[in-house]
Amino acid sequence: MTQYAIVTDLNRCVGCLSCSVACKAVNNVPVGNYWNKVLRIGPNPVEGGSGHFPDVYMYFMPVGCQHCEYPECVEVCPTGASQKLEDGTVQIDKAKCIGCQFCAMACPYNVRYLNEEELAVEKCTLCEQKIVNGELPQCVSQCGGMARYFGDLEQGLESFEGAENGKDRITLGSFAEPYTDDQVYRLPDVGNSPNFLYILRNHAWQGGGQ
Amino acid sequence: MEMQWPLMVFTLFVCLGAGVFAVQGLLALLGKGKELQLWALVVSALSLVVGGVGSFLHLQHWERVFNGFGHLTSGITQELIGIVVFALALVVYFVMLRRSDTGMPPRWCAVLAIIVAVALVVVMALSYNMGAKPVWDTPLLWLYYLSDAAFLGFLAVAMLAGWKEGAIQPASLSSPGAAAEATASVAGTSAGAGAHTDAAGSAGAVEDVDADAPGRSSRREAVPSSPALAARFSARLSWICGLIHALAVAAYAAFFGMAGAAFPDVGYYYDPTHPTKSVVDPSTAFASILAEPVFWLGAVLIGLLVPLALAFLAEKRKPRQLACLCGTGLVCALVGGFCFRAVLYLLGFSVFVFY
Repeated sequence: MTQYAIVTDLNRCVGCLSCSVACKAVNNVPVGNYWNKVLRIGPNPVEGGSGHFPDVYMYFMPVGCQHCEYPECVEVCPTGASQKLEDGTVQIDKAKCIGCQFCAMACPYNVRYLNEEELAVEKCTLCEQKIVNGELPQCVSQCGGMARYFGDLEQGLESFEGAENGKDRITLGSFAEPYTDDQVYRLPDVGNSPNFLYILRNHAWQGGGQ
Repeated sequence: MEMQWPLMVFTLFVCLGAGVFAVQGLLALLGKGKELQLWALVVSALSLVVGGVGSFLHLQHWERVFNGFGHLTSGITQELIGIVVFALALVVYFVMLRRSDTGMPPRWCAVLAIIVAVALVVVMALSYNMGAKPVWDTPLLWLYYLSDAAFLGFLAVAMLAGWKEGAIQPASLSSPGAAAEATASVAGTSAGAGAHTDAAGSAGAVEDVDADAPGRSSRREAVPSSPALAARFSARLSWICGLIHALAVAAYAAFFGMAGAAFPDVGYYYDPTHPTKSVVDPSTAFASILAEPVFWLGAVLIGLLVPLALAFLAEKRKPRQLACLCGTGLVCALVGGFCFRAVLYLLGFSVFVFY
């Protein structure tokens, strides 16, 4: 089994929105729609601090489709347009989509959009057109902070690959600062088991979930 | 989240259609209101059509439903199956009604109507129970839809019954007691069935019908099934169901206050992609919705209290007045149902509200 996913090292994310912009450019995402968005969490007070600046912290968090283990969007799709593929990604067969938008309602993260021209629902495809050719998703290869890594969860996080540093791709195992298992987080889970991971060291995770 | 007007129309009119169908099935079981059976069926079918058109308007590519609409875990597929079964039940009911010598469907058909109507409403509620939307993901939604269907159904049937009675009875006989007496005397029943008090009359009618075997039509014809009895019975049940519906709305309002705990708190946050967008805070939104006119004016005052009062007043009125009061109550209840559905969409935040 394969489960492609993206790991984001939040301690490295600088909030440059490159991933968001790169995604829009490569996937022709319509104006007003976002398959990938960066949120700023904070500034929130540091535990044990004064509660005021400079005892505060914040981090940036790119959010998109989490390519869940048990995707609610696939379960509620009446036509089977939304599917979970063998590579673990959740994809939409737009020719089958009737535009009922129940998937958009059932998504806990609100990351699905109706394409007003094609009248079908769209979302992050994990750059399917690129990864089948061995390339990285555009949000990973163009990450300004070298914070994003793409890979197969079954192969372990250490094998996840990031943007090219010179001419070779970095790997999470060799490039990322050390982290512990309890510093790896996911977005809130309502039974869908999101597969994207977030590494956050030395700060309190504020995204819900665990 | 954004208002989904077509889905609000769909759920509202499915509740109305299912409510009317279940109530006419109940009346048939109790041997009441045979004159309005066909009209109730028409109202139920029309409601289903309005609801169906609403749901189709929601689809961006409705023509693709013929490509394959069979994913059974989907609430929409289940709703479609429910609607097809409901439509088939309407046809069966119609055929049995036309073939019946007594003007009433057989008991099994009446029971079928009730079961199919309740099942459709439950299936509809189930399809909106989504883990992603804490405000929708509760059995309270079932209770709300079911009580809404019962409230709307009894109001609509009471209006129909009052109207039918008003149309067939001379003015001198149009008072409730006189109408009941007239029917009883025509049917040749004892004074128990034609009593001035509707409760006694209804009880007598129930006992008579319950004692009936399905094939004994001559015995069934002796049962008073005048629209007047049906109208007052439905008016009474409508305000009783209205009270249950009010409890459902009150329970839901209390639930709004507690639902805030289901949302993760990230402290301060900011969306650089939408720099001017206000920060969403579900708990504040839940608290403030109770002060919004769409809730207290639309859903509570117009949608609950007014129709409740009208139904209460209607029970003791003459048939024409009863029809007017229940008809007005029905319109108010529909407006209220629409407003409450709007509230459910206004509070339909995803678990992760920040995207």
